[in-house]
Amino acid sequence: MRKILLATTAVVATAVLGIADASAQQAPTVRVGGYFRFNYAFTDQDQGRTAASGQTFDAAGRRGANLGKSDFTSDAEIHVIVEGKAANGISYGTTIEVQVDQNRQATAGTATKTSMDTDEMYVWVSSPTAGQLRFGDEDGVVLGAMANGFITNFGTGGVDGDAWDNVVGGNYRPAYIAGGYLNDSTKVIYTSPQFFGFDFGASFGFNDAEGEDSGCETFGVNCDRADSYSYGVAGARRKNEVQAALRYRGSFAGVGLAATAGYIGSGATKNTDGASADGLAVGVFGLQATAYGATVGANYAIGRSNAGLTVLNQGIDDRNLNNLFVGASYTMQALTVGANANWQTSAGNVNNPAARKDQIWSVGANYALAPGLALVAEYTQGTTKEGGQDRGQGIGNKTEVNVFIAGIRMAF
Amino acid sequence: MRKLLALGLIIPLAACGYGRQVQNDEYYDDSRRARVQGRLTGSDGILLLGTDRSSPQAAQDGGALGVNAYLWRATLDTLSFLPLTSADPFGGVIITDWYSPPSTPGERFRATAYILGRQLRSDGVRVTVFRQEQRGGNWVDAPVAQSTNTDLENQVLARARELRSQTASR
Repeated sequence: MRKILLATTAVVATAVLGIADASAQQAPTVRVGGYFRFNYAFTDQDQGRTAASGQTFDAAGRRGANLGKSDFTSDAEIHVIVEGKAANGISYGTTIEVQVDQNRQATAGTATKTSMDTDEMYVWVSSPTAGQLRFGDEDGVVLGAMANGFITNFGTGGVDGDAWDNVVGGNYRPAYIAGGYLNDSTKVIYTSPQFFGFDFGASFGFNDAEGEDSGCETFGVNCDRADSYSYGVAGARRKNEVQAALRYRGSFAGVGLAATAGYIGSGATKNTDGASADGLAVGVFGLQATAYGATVGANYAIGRSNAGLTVLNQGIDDRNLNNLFVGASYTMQALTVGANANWQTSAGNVNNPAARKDQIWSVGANYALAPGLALVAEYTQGTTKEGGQDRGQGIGNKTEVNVFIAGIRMAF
Repeated sequence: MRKLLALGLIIPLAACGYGRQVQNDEYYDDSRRARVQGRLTGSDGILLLGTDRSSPQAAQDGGALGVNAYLWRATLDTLSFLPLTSADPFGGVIITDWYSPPSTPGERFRATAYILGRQLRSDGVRVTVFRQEQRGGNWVDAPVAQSTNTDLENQVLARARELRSQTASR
């Protein structure tokens, strides 16, 4: 009986402690994963005065530069993934992601278009009963770990796909919100175990800087710890970013449901030469459902922010950000087709009474030739409008871009 | 104060083990690599160091059971002459009922076996045998030679090695 009791106790202890293995220790594993894509991209974008289509000279009389439409493009990622489990059931690991990301403008003297840099890099420790802690460069819990409603599993991702890698000029790329939209600022993240379908998390970062250490050698705006400096209608940065999210996942009559409610809040760097910007205070709500190969989802964000979750400088009013992302996809064996769209209104130029309106829609498909190898095709259109605001070198108050992509991508 | 109260509710929940550990693949991943379905290598990346536990072969090493599958199977085989009372493949515990050999109806045996991990190791199994003798119509405990337990453990290990070699030769 004593032994039976002992055995029973062992079983109960195993269940209560949540440690599935009698002795769970696992020696660490080190893996290398990778991603490569090759795209043909046809990009038809509005071009400003110095590069207006069909225009020979700019306003200063200099010969302008015009962009063509077709290009081949490539991209790659390398991930190093370490995982292990201690005898006490604590799991641990680290992930370091290296990417080719200097896609638009190399930094003179320090990087070229073919340079690689770090993307996400973090270490994590997870307890079966207490949850997981992550330390490093990563998205926060709202648009990272617990993001919901962003349907991007077709084409290259549609609204959040490769289209914008081909568009020249920030003013020609519409703003939107999707998973991973905020940068991977260095932070601490906590995520809980799942209780009755619910889990929750929170993250904190002192500022919006990512990458190694201080980020500068002389005191200035680029320092990670920049606290106050002179700026105009742009140039303020997030400080003390806090994110919190509650997520639910469940299944009802064969339909998988996932929902997330989250909050992104921050302060802002102080302006030494005028009014300071306001920090972020944005609520984010995502919902998605999956059944019979179909997935539909939506994400809505509202709160104090300027376009694309940039901090809102004080201007003529305190207009909030509104952002709606919707998407749907359907998978039939190796083929996945889908569409998504994003509508965003924001203050734009805080000294301009007209609101900025960004709109994107996309349709696309991918076909899996083999696990980890897929053909993709996608069409994306985006527009940005802001009455009374020149969107770029005399282009007027509206810009439009159309991008068609056909490509191949692989992952290992 | 409300935060403290909420935390006060959550911590007991966690402490009581109601929570389920959320795996890393249940979190949103915004990398381009994550958008590609499947992996050319079959598993998530190329293994440079350590033991692959994500493949079907790795599952046989204990990934699906919670304990080493060879030790588990070998223990069941070795103790198959005894009637089984309970077997927990996740905790790695096997408990048998009493059994009297036809040749010696005056004594009976039962056994408990513990499989101690996912790895196929010589110290990965512990077998304990209990013996009773009938005296005056009652069953009373009787000593078991320590070598009996060790012999059974060796038998389990030999069977596990046999199963492992059979799998490797496929």
